Amino acid sequence: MSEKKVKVKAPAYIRHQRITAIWFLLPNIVGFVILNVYPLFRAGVLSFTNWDGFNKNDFVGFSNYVKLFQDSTFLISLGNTLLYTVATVPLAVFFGILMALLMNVKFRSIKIFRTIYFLPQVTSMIAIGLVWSLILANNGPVNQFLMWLGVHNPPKWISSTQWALVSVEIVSVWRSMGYNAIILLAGLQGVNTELYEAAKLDGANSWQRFIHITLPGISPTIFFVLVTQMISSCKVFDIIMAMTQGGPGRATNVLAYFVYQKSFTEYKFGYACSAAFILFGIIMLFTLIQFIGQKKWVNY
Amino acid sequence: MTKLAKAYEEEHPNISINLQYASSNDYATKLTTVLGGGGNIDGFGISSPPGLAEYVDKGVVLPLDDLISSTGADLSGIQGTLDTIKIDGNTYGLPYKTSSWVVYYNKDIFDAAGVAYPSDDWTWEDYYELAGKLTSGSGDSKIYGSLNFQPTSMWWRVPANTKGSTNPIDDTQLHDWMLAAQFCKSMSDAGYQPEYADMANDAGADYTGNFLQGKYAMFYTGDWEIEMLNTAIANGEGNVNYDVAAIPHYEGQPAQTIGAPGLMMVAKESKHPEETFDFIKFCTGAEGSKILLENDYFPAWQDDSTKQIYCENKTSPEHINYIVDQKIISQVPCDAQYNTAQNIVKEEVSLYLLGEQDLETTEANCKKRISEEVKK
Repeated sequence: MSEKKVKVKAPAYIRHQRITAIWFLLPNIVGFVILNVYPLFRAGVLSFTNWDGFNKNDFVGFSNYVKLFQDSTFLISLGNTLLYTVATVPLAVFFGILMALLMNVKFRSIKIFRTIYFLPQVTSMIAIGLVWSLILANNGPVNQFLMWLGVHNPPKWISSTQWALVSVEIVSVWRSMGYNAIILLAGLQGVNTELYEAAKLDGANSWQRFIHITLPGISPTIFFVLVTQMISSCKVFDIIMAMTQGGPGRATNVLAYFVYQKSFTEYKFGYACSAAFILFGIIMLFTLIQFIGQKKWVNY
Repeated sequence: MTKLAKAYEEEHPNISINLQYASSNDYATKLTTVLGGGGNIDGFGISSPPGLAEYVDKGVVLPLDDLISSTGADLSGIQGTLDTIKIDGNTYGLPYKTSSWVVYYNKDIFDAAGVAYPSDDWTWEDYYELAGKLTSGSGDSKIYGSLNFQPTSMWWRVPANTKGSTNPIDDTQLHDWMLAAQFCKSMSDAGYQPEYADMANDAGADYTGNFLQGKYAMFYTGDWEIEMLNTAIANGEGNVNYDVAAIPHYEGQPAQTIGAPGLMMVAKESKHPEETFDFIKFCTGAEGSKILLENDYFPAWQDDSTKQIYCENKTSPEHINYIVDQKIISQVPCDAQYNTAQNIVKEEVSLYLLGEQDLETTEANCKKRISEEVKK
């Protein structure tokens, strides 16, 4: 039996409601277009020019993009961004899940702990950068502890090219895991408790319950956290600015910092826009891959 | 600036000056927006010569040579600075304030070590030797002879600046910068000042606080430090028996110090260029300099009377006259590409100072990157 498609005009009251809805949405849409869509479009156009913020504004075709891939600083910052993302995303999500599980227990003062774990997210990045610089200083608490453990040559953390990126990654994971944990906690609390009871009756142990009930249950939340974490890792800027300013040398120069340097210290806005567009492209690509991949493992 | 404008308005009742301020973080952005957007602006100030060169490059600054000759402006008090900030032989801005670098030293540490105070004519080699003699102790009670770097700044390059080498885009001057970097590292290596790597956090940057606590015998910086030290001492935040000395020079080079001039310019699109120039002339001239001095600014205009006003009623430090008695040259060149080049050198030299890259590689990398990223 074939279904017959009939176009039915929505009843008058629904149409009326839609119009009302559009009116309510309009301020937001206008704001979005002016503040997001238009600048994005402008930046795209600028990336093909040599605009310096003033008079120069000639169309230069793809030469900015070609130049970028010959610019050693750009290539280094691109590599650092990828390394940083690959390191921070899995760790921040993994520790997020771990913390969410730990926080998903019922005892009286758990809310205090939840607040504490969330605190880094609402603390100014400048303050975080300053405190962590002290913690990771060459004769700071971390290295003193390592020396007490018997490590003779503890790493020079933010003052060596070898460890600077790792240091920034540690701070970044520390900062974002609490936020991820709170979101994952909401996911955990949405998992149907009857499923656990049924599984217990069937003799599933706690590991099996975690793998077969908890993980699939929170997979949409994990997916959300993965995507947002990935985007914020690719765009990392504040922590670099606060802790290392891209140094030592160029060891922690990342794409967003490169864009900032090129535009606001060297006034090469056109050039900076093309770097920003490459960053945009990378984020789009990663997000698309994740959206395609999610069909295989996310249960809605 | 408000007081300058007020004083000028009192003398010229037909002129009213509409001042716009921006915080130093937003200043460049705001100025770019106003000038780029064809905003209505007659004149503006800038805190450094490379900034002037950038705006001249962008074609928003009016050349002042015609106005100078037609009005017969008296520029005698700022001639020295003016000569170093011309672009292609033209004058685009007049300096209203500057700074003057001296060596600050802790007299008690000198006395304890039995070392004579530095004289007004001494070399960087002398400085190094003195730093060695003044270093003592270990651990928490260690006293360093010197501090001549800050991890986030380019302070280490100052010895090269005193030789007139201010622009790393020039290969010869770049080489002088490398020698200055070597000078800085040799003092760390000898233990006369802390390791560069040990200072790579913000706490290490508080040189004033550390000097007040007697952790360093000598360091050099601009005249602003006097105000900071005296205020801190008056507030009981530390007590240090200090004085200032002339900045050292290299063997065979003239004794001169450096300063970073702040400049005032007339906008090209100005509707009142003559009036604006007259105001700038007032601010940068003898009258303006007195108002600046009264408000604790260090004016670019220097003559006997400003020197006298500067030193008047100032008892600490004892030799404050070195601030005004030294010949001052601009610390930064009038080159729009300077900031880009300087940043490259900063990145590469930080690797050298951390001991991750030798000096030859550092110089070669600087040259290579400057030719790739700047000279095109």
